[in-house]
Amino acid sequence: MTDRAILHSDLNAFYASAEIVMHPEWQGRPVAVCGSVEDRHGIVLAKSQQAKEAGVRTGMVVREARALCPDLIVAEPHYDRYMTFSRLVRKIYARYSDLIEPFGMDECWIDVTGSARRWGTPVEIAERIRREVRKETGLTVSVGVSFNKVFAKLASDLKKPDAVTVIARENMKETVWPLPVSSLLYAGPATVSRLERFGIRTVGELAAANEETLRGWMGANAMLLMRFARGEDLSRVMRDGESMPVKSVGHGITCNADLYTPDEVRRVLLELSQDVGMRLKEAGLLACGISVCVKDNRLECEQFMSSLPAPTRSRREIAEAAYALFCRRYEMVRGVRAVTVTAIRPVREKSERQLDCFGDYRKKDRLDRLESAVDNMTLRFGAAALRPADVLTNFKTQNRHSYLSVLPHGVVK
Amino acid sequence: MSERGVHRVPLSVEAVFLTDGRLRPRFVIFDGARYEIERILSVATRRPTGIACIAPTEYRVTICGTEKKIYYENETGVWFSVKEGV
Ligand SMILES: [Mg+2]
Repeated sequence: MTDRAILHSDLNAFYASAEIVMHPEWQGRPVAVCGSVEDRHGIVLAKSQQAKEAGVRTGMVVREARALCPDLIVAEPHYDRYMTFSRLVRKIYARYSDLIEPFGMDECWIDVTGSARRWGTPVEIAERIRREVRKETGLTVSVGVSFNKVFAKLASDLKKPDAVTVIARENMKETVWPLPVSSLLYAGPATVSRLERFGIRTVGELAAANEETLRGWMGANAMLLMRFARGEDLSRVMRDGESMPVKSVGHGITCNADLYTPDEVRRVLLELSQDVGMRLKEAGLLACGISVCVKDNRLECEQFMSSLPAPTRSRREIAEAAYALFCRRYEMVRGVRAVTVTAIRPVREKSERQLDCFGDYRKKDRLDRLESAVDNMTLRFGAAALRPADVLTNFKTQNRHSYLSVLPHGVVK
Repeated sequence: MSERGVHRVPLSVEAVFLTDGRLRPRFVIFDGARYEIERILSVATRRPTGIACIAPTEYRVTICGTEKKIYYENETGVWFSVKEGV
C-alpha cells in the first residue's frame, strides 16, 4: 500500500488576522481580539504576532494584556466575518480535493492522495494553497504535509506563519521524536504530566516505550498516543459533510471574579450542567462519563474525568458527579477563574445500557420525569424559565462558552 | 488611514450575468459619465494590498484604451476601485 498524502492547513492567528484584513491600518501593530471588551474581565481570544511578542497570551484578562502592552489594539470578535472567511478558505481547499475535514473554524485536514496526477506533489499542492489563501483573502496559513493526520497537524504547528512543513517517514525521527509529547494531538495536560512521571517526555520516548508496561501504567488511551508517536495513525479524513459522531457535549464559564469556596464552584457546576443536560437531550444522547476542567487565576488548568454509575443526561446527576469529582481531585489553593463541565462517551438513548444494580430505580424514574417536565418548559419558555433555586443566587459567572465537540472519525473509539 | 493612503472607492457598474453564472462588467459610471469597458484582460480572486475587503474578484480591464483594475466583493455586492494617495 502506498502512503497517503494528508495536508493539515491552519489559519494563523485567525481572529486577529481577519480583523487586520478588515483594518489594514492595524497591520504590523499589536492586536488582540477579546471577548466582552466593555467588561474589564474580558479575555484575549486571539492575538497578532506583535501582541504575542509583547507577551500577550490567549486566555489573559484584557487588563493584564494592556499592562504588558500599553499600545495594544483591543478588537471585538466578529464571528459572522470569521465564518465567511472560513468558508472562503475551505473553497480554496476544495479545488484540490473533496476529502476535507474541518477541525474547528480555522483548521482542516485535506486528503490529497488522489490529487497528485492533476495538481502535482503534495508539497506543490500545499504551496499552491498557501499562496492562494494569502493572495485571495490576505490571511495566511501554515500547512503541514505528512502521511497521517496526527503528523500533518503537528507539522502545521512547526513553522508559522505562511509556511509549508513536511514530515515524511524518512525524517520523522529527526523532526518529530525530539518534540515534547504535548505536541501530539490529543495529548492533554493530564496525560502529559502522567507520562512525565514515568520519565516519558518526548514523542520519541513515547514511541520507544514498552507497550505492555505502558498499558499497565496508563491504559488504552496511552496506547493510542503511542501509536500516534510511531506514525501509525490510520484515521481517515472525513469527506466534507459526512456525519461525524458527537464525542462530547460541554459547557464552560469564565467567572468575572475568582471563586474561593467549594460551594461557589458547586453552584457554577450546577449551572453548567443545566446546559449540558439540555443539549444531550436535544442530541438524543446519554453520557457515560463526565469531565471537569478547572482553571485557576494563574490560568493553570487541571482536568479530571470519571465514569458515571449509569448513562444519564440528568442535570442533577451530572452536576452531583461533577462536584464529587471536583471535591475528590481538586485542591483549591488559588482562586478558580474558569470551569468547564463536559459529558463524555455519549451513547444513543435507545442503545442498551448497563444498569447499576444498587441504584434506586423508582427514585431515578421520578427524577427522570421531573427533569423531562423541566426540559419541556425550557424548550417552550427558554433557559431562564425554570431553574434549581440553587443557581438563582447571583453568582460570579459570565462569558459562557458551549460547544459540541466532534472528534475526527476513527481516532477515538 | 490605511498604509500609504490606499483606499477603496465604491463604483457604480453595469454588469451582465452570463448564462453560466459568470459576472461580466460592461460599463463604469463615474461622475455622471458612462465609460465602456472595452476588454476584460483577466479575472481572478485577489485582495488588493492594504484594502479592507473580503476576497473580491479582480477584473483587469481596459477603459478608454488604458488598463484599470476594478473589484467586485461578492459578500457585500459592492464594486470598487483602489485609489492611491490621500
Ligand atoms: Mg489557527
